[in-house]
Amino acid sequence: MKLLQKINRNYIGYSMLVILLVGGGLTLILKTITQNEIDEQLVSELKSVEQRIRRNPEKACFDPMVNITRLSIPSVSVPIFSDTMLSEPPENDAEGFRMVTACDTVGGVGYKIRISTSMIPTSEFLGLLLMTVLGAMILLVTGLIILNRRLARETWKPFRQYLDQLQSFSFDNHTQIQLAPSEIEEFSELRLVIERFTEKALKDFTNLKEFTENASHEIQTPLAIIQARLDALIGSGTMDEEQGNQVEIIQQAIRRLTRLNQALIMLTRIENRQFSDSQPIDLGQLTRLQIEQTADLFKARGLNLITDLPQGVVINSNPYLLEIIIGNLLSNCIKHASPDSDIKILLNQQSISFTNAGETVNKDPETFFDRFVKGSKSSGSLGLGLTLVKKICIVAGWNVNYQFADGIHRVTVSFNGIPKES
Amino acid sequence: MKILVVEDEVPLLESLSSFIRQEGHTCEISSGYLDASQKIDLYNYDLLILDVGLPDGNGLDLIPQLKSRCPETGVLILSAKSSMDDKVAGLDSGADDYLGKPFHLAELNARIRAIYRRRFFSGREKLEFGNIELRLSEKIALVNNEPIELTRKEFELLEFFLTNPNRVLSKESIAEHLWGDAIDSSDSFDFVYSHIKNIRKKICEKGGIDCIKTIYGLGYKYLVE
Repeated sequence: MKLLQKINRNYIGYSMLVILLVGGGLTLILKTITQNEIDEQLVSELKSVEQRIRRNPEKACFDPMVNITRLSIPSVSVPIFSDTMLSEPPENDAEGFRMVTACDTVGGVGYKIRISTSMIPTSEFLGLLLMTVLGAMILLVTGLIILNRRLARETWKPFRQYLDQLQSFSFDNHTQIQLAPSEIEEFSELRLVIERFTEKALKDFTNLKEFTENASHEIQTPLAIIQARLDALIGSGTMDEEQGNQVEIIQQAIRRLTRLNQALIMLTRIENRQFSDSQPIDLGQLTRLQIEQTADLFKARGLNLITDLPQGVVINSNPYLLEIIIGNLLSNCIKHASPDSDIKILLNQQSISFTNAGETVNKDPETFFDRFVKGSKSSGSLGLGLTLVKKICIVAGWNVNYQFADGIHRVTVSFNGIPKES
Repeated sequence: MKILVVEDEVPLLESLSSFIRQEGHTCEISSGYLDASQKIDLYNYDLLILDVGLPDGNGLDLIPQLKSRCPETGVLILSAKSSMDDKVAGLDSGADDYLGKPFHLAELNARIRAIYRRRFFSGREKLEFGNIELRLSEKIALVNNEPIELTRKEFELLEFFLTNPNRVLSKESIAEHLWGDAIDSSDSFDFVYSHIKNIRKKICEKGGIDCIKTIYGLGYKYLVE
């Protein structure tokens, strides 16, 4: 529920209640007042009728609204008021009348006097008055609601703007959030708080990234020392086979740590957009070169390569980043393809896809783009290859998509940003 | 060759200098920017091996100073920042080659030898051991003066062996030298073995002697008497 809706709902509810109460109250009060007035008139009419009877009983009754009957037993009573329905010629429709009945004794003769007067003018007047008042109130309330809505739309504008800007805020583009100032104090405060918080978040984020980068660099040096000393040890030629096997494991661990470190540095640098320079690159040619470079690795696993790499597919990109994408996707195929299976690499104007047969995956293939998510238990995998690919694609505005069906894995990079189903 | 190694990490500096001396070069060491700056002003070197991140300055700034006095001195950059833009910055400032940390000593040796060849032989160096000769600029391998057909990788592998004779080369360092980062996609380096097998076969076919010795558990060694 929108804020305005909530406020308006309360407004309308309250206004309705007030209108009903005022309407009811007004009707009651006006009715009482007019009735009293009518009753007073009826009483004075009654008095004049009594006087006329006193003067001349025979000629007292000339008004059709006054009814005088002689009573057999003389009696005196106070006037009794009542409402009644009477039909009156010529319409003969029953209408509301106010009636007063009283008994009096003049000269030893008892009379019962009944005077009635039509209520139509009063009730018409009452209705009209009520309608006017209610109409005015409804007009007031609806006017207020409309005015309020307009005003709110105008006053809440900065709030909406702030919200939109916050929604589009991203750490990736490194721009400090800039909000338009507002005259309204609350929004002004909100703006300050938002700006302060995003600034702080951005600073923390940058610090964290710098830390990652620095830490990664610092790790390289001890690694270099370990590697150099290990090489010297191997080179000395004093080791036997058993020691050699131990060294090989150490060697693998060093290599893994090195690669991990480099991948982390790379991720940070891509996130920092440090590879902004781009140039036109023939993707088919670049892919062929990389395939040539890794031909031995394909052969070693008995993989059969099927390629369709037409010339003239030119992509505007940083050459290094494009090399990483192709290299990582190739590595991925080699690493995870079932031995002696087919690998397909297909290029067209919009996209390039890498297809290989491999183990069934039970998780959502999209998670492979997350850091340190590995598809298989093969220890050689860092779990960062596809993360790098995804990161580069995000920065370059491309789309990468992982499909898995019937034991076939396919990764497609679409250069126009729209995933292509094939 | 007379080589100056500038590196602030002493354990690494020691390893590098003793390795370079083993290779038969004269090696001087420096562990800081100012010290190195003085040394290159006072003495002449054939090669400067330079770490970029020094505590008291950026190693790259030493290159213009060196080049203004001694333009023929080669420069090999060592850096923990093994990413493309550092590489480009280093080579732009006049360095001959770039090696990211960590590296294999055999790889360092190959790079030093390559710079050496470019400096002193304009790349026309021959590697010759026994009856095997590699003409590096033409990429021709001769056994008993008869050319043998080697693939590009096989030639590079043989060159790597002849650049590092009598040294145990791990499968890892061989694979990295030949295939670079691509070897990450492979769990084993068995394909190194198949290349070595091919080289052995081709050498023996022409009556050459197979000097590549398998060191079990460690790698291979090219034996030279």
